Formats: sequence, C-alpha cells, structure tokens
Amino acid sequence: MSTKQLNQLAELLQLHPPPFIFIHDPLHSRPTPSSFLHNSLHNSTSQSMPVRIDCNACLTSKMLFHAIINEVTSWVPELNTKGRATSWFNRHVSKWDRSLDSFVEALKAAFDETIGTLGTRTNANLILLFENVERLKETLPALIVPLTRLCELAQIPISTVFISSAPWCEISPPIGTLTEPYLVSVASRSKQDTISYLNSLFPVAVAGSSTSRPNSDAYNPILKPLYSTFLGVLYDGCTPYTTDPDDLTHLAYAMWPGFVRPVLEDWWAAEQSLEGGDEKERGEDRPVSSNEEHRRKPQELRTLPPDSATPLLIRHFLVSFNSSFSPLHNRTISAKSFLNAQASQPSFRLSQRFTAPAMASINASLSSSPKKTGLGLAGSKHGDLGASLSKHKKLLLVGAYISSFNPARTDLRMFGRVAEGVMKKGRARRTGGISTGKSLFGRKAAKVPQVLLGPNSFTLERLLAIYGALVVEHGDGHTAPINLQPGQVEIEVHRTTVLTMLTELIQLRLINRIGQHDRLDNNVTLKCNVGFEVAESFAREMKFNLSDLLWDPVS
Amino acid sequence: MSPGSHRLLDAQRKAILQSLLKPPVRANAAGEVSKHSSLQSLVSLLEGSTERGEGNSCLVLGPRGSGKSRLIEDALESVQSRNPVVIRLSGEAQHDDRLAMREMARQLVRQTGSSYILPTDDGADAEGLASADTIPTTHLPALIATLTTLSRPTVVILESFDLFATHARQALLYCLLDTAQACHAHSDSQANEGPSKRYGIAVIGVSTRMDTLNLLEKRVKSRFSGRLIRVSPPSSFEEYVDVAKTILQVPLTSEEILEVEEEEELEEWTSSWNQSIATFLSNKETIRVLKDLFSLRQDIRTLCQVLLEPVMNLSPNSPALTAANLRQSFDAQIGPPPFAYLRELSYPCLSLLIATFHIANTGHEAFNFEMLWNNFSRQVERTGTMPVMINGASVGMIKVPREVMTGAFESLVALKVFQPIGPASSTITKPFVKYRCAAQRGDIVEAVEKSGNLKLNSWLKRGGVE
Repeated sequence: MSTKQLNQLAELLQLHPPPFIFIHDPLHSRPTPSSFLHNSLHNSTSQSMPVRIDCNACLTSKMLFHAIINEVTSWVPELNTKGRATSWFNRHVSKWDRSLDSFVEALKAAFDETIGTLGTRTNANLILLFENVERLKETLPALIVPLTRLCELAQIPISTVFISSAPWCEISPPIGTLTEPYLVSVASRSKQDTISYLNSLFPVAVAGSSTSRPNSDAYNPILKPLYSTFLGVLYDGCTPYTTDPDDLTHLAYAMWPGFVRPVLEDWWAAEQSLEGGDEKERGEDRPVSSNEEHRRKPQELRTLPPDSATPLLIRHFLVSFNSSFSPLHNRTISAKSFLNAQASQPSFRLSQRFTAPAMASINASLSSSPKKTGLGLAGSKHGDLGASLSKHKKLLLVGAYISSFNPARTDLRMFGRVAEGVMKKGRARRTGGISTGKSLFGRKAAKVPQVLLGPNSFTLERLLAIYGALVVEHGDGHTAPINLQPGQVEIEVHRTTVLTMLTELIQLRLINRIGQHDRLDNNVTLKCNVGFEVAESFAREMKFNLSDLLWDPVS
Repeated sequence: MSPGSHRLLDAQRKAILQSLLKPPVRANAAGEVSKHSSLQSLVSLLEGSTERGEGNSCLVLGPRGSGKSRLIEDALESVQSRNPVVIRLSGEAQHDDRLAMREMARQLVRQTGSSYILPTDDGADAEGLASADTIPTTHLPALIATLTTLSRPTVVILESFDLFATHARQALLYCLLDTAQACHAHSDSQANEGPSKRYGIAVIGVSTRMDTLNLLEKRVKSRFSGRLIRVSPPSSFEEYVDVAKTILQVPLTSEEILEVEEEEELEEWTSSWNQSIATFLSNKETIRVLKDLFSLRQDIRTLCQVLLEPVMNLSPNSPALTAANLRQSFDAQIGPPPFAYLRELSYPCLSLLIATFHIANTGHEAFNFEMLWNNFSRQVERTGTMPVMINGASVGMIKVPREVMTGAFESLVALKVFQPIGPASSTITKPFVKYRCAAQRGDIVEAVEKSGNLKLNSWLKRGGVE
C-alpha cells in the first residue's frame, strides 16, 4: 500500500503539487519516503526540483537556511582564505541568513537562477522535503508556520513536504492561521513492498571488481532470481516475530550465504574438477577464503540451479532456520560472526543427495555455536564488579539493597533478635509479581512489589544499622549468629572506614546519593543502584541467602 | 474504454487536480450574494484608491479557508490596469516593525526600481538595503510617507493582521493608517483643483480573528476607516455540494483539447463525465460523507483536500469516483486514527503493549519497564512449561533478551506511545521511570488481532499471569 501511495504522491507532486503535504511515517519505513520521492522526482521528466533537508542537522535557523539554499543551488561550501565557509548567496548579498524574509529573498533568487539554468520555468516547482520534522518542534518552533507557507511568502511555486514520525497534531502549533496539510500516512508494511525493497538491496555486481568479502560469490547476479525466492521464505518464517525491513535486512544478510552455499559448493567443485582433473571431492572441505582464483574462471560453469532443486534448498534452509533465527534476531550474535561460523562449517553440494546423519551434524553445529556465544556474553557482566570490591563493600552494598527494597517498618522483624540470639523468623508472606485480581475501576488496585517499582531512598543511619546487623551475623562468613555483644566500641571504630567505603560506592554509582550534596549532617539519603542479581551474588559469596532477608522476595 | 477516452480521462483528471489547487470562485445563484457583494465592495475600495487617489483602509475577516486571500487576488486583478504597487507583508514572517520595514523597502525597490529609504552611508542600492539591519525605527514614518509620493497608487496587504497589532506601540499600523487617512483628507480638499497628481493608498488587513478591531490601540483605531469586509464559507449544504460539482465538472481547457482531434468525441466525453459526476454526487453514501464534512468544517480548502485522493485514484480501471474512496479519504484527512500503525510493530513491542494491558487490568495505569519485563518473562516462563502442542507447534512464547526488550521499550517511547509521567528525575534509574500508555485499550486489542500472531492474541485474551 505504501508504495502505491508514494507513487501517487510523486505523480501529484509532478502534476500540481499542493503547497503543503504532511507525511506521517511512524515506523521509519524503507525506503524512506523522502529518498523515494526524491529519486522518482529526480528521474522524472517534469520540471520539479526535489530538495532534501534533514531537520536533525539543522539546529539553528541559520543552518536550516544554508541547508536549503545549498541544496537548491547544489552549492558545496568551501573554506575561503579567512577560514570561513563560503555560501552561494554571499556573491549577491551578505547577511542574508539573519532573518526569515532575507532568506525568502535569497530563496527566490536561488530559484530563479537554478530554473534559469534548467530552461523554461513554466511548470517548474520547488519541492522541499523536510525529514525528521519532529525535531523542528524542539529546535525551531517559530519556523514551522513560515515553512508551511513558503509558497505564499515567496510567491514562487514551492511545495513543502514534511516527513515525520510524529503525527501532525503533535507538531502543529495551535494557531488558527496554519495551513492544513494534505495528510499522507505510510505506516503499512505489506509483504510485497518489503520484499521488493529487500530485493533492491541485492548488490549490483561490477564486472571485474574483486571485493574482499569472502561470500562475494553468493551475490553473483546469476543468483538474483533465487534470492527473491529466498526472501519470500525468510519473510514467511519471520512474520510472527518481525516484519521490520531493517530486521529482515539483517537476517537476510546473515542467512543468504548459508542458503545458497550448496549451489556455490557445486560451482566450486565443478571448477575444481576442471582445474585439477581427477580430484573430485575436494569441494567438501576447501577453504572459502581462496575464492579469488575462481573468480577469474570462465563464468559458464556458474548457472542457476534448476527449479526442481529450489524446494531442496528451502527444506535444508528451514531445518536450521529456527535455531539460527533467535540469536540473530535478538542480536546475541552478530551477522558477521554468524557468517564466519557458518563458513567454517562443512556443507554439501546441491547435486549430492542429502543424508540424514550429515543433516543432523550440521544442525547440531549450527544450533550450538550461537548459544555458546550468548552465554559467554552474559557471564562476564558481574565478574568484574565482584572482583573489584572488597568483602565489606559488598556487604555494605547488600545492606543498601535491603534498605532500598524493604519497608522501614519491617526492619525490626527482619533483624530483631531475642536474648537467645536466634533470629525471629519473620519474613515475607507474599510472592513476587503483581497480584492480579479482577480489580478494575473503583476497587483498590493490586499492590506492586517494591522490586518492580524500583529502589526506595533510605537514610544513612538505617543503612549503618542494617550493615551492622549484617556484619554481626555474616561478617566472617559464619552462618550462625556470633557473640551478640560485640560492644559499641567496635562499631564506632568501623564508622570512618564504613563512611569511606560508602563514598567509594557512591563514586562508583553503585549507590546514589539523593538530595543536596553539600550537606554534611546525618540526614543523608541514599538509594541503591544495583539489581537483585548482583546483590544476590554478593550475598551468596558471604554464604547467606538474600531472599531470606527481603520482605518481598523476588520469585 | 477506448484509448481516446483514456487520454480524455487523464486530461480530465489533470484539469480537476488543477482546479482543486485553485478552487473556483462561487458564481452560482446562491453564492453570488455573499461573495459578490464582498468582492464588489473591495473592488470599489481599490478603485477609489487607484483611480481617485483616495486613502482607504479596510479589514477582511473570515475563518481560515474561506477565501480571503482569493478575494483579494481577484480584486487586485480587476484593478490591474492601474498598475498599483502591491506590498505584501505577513505577520508570520515579519515579527517586528523593523523586519516589516525592510521587507517593505525591498518590495518597493523591486517594483519601482529606485530606493526610498534614507540610508546614511552607502548609497541607495539594493545591497545597501538588504544589509541594512540597523535601520532605526525612526525612519518608519519617512518610509511610509514616501508611499504616497510614488507615481503609482499603492496597495499594502497585511496578512495575519492581528499579529501586527502585537508589535511595539503598533507603530507600523499607526503610520500606515495615518498616512491613509491623511491622504484621504488631501484628496478631498484638492479634488477640485484640476487633475490631481496625488496617488492613493489602500491598506488591507487580513485576519481570521473576529475581534481584530479590538486589538488596536485607540489612536490607531481612530485612524482606521472601520470598514470590515466579511468573507464566509458556503452557508448551506446545497451550496457546498455545488462547489464540489463545479470543481469536479471543470471543463477541459483548450490546451487539453488540442490533443484530441474529434470534437464529437470530446462532447460525448464531457456529457458522460458530467453524468458520472452527477451520479456520484447524488449517491447516498457520498452525500453522507459530504454532510459529515460540512458539519465539521465548511471551508472549501478542506473539501478540496478530501476530494484530492479520490481524484488521484482515477485510472482506466476505475474511471469513476466512488463513495467508498471518498469515505476512505475523509477518514485519512479528517482526524486519522493516531495509532493505526501499532499492528505493524514487532513482536517485542506488541508484547510490551499487551503487558501494559494486563497491568492496567490490575488497576495500575502507570508502569515502568521493570513491571512490563516481569509480566512478559513470567508469561514466557508459564507458556514455556505447557506441554501443549497446537498443530505441531508449541504454544510457548519466544524468549526475548532483556536488552532487546529495552530497545523495543525505547522505540515505543520514541513513538510517543509510552509517555513519561511527571518530569525527568536524575534520582530514578531508567528501568523504574514511570510511563503511561497513550494508546487506548481498544487500539491494543485491534493491533494484536490484526498482527495475526496467535500466541500474543491468546495471551491478550486469556489474561495475564497470576
């Protein structure tokens, strides 16, 4: 649908462009509306002059004016002798970029001159395609209205096209004089559009050029029809999870060489046999990197496999599809490393029969390699942090976590001790997760556990108290409570060290300090900035279970 | 259809597109009264200035899209023979009097070929003017006084007149109106002294604000003639339809006829086209759409906007306008649904939306990423352990790593589907910042249903995690 809409729009812009068009493109469709319109208008025979302006790059009105004029006149700014960029209009009038009306004047002059070089100006019109207009709302809100009325202001045929990911009602200033735009929405992503876009990305081969890409054989122009088939299969396979053209581009890039590999193996084997005479089966394990010599071979050997072989390729592809899709889609493995992993694995030739054991081994290797990579990434996260902190710092951090996620009124139940030195086991009654209940309007909302709402702030005194309790019970790795009379002195001695440790933790941003930073009294409020996983791993190092000390443990 | 009629259809389509851009002035019996009288009074006012040397001022008021600018263009056309100097200023572009003055000087230079400003140093050429950023406003009366000394009558058009009233001390308006009034007095006293060499000036303000007159300061107001010309959009539905008919039945001009040899064919085409338009406009559904439109906005510009898409859709395969097309275009142009694109979103984004749906079910309109993530991962866990297979596929939802989910969450924030509650605070870490969902519950249900993902749909329908 969107291609049809854009085609129609391009036609309209060539015939009788309305002064103001607004294109709502929330999903950043591919190809982008501006590039599509620019190309189709540029290649058309009409007198329209399409000009693209990226509002992201225009922070000030001066930059915007220069961007427009430079585009209209195809002027490339250069540095002059004074080290300043020259502008096209400087030849005529200086300081034209100071205000809007001088800019309009400059635009008129630029238009006249450019049209003069093009020829007749009867049907000529200037089409300004503004991309990312939502940024203008923040940077140059005062210019939105004049830009929409450029046609009236300059009295030359200008069509302003705004392209934005935000809807028009978000951008339009609430002024009655604003021109209502002709609205176009290009949100839909139909299968046909997406596939034709992906197809257009198939690299155009330049004869005789040798690229360094190891898989360049896979992008041989002969294979283009097969590529279309592949895209259809890929699209269908991905439909439940993604139809985003960018995602699909990524997947297609990673998966296409694997899909087409059996065909390539055939090619290589044929060339090999031509070259090496009786060495027939070398194609199986030959390295991919030595493609270069084959590129110089006559191309007759490289033919598209017969149609009857396509289902075979698809079947082979689909067997490994599910295992390779998730890691690629979730980006736990990059397309490049996936390609490398695949290239190093044995494959087979299309002309050979598939055998069950061969398939199984390939599948196993395919599915195992991405997972390993994924685990490796996840494991290294807390390791560095744990190694850099001392034991007492970890304990302080666990104390901060408890202070942040337990309500203050539960501290006595959690850490209170009877004379015998046994912990009063008062702990959470609830399990994690937001309790459902058919509570809708009028009834009281279900309570959300603190762990989902985020850390609460706590005072320094409370942290020190909890830290003290933790030190007494778990400080030396004892599981049983140690002597309950540690003496006030010991705690007092610890205080300076504790505060130093705390400062360091705050500097590491593992604990956040809330409120005014220049206050030195005891009313310091803090917030824990580490998640449950980190705190729990530290607690485990001290040989105690963090969940036992939480009022509302994570399930 | 024959190739000839293909060509004619194409020509007709182009002609209609052109007339949509420049809708015709209503000239039928019903429209004649209001528009014509305002046109007449404006023309007579301009004639007074251009022919009899009067100084005139007036305000053209009317809602947007009612044809104010068009009226002025038409009136100017009729006094074109007197070759007046036309100065156009807009309150949108000229934010203060200095800018307005500079623009005025620039237009004067362009139209008369000589300079009237009083620069002190560097001559009086165009370059000096354009760089004259520092013209003091004290030159304003001098500049405006030159307007009446020109050898041609002057017409000053002030678009967005109400914005000029916000300028400091309304100096520009004061000077302009004062000059106009003074010119009036002069021409009265000198009217008998033979053929006067003094040329008139007309100041025309254009505004959508009905209370514009009250914005003027007393001294400015007393110099204004008080003439108001009101322009109104079509007041009755019949008139409105008539406008649509005039636009759609626009006759092919000579330029297009040149391409067609047989006159008979053209006549035949015109009658058949007019017939098809008449059928289209008498269709019940068409009338309903037009009535909806008329009751929302009466202006012609909106009508043209809505008609544009059906006309663009004309092709040899569908050579007539249809009511369905019109309805579609109406929906797209007048308040399009803000979240129609949700169904095109990816699986992680839709999962997050469903999670907000379930969290709202528990009574929480506000949510943070952590809550959504918890909801989603529990759902994945729950469905993953189900030993149920449907059509050989497991009902388990696909796992998504937290990083991808964070990306999806951020993209929804960027799309403004999730909007933050309250100001940003440095003390709240990212996953705990509270948001609310701008999309309605109905939008989410529709999006998930249309996305065609059965697992998501069943999650939405069966309810969340307990």
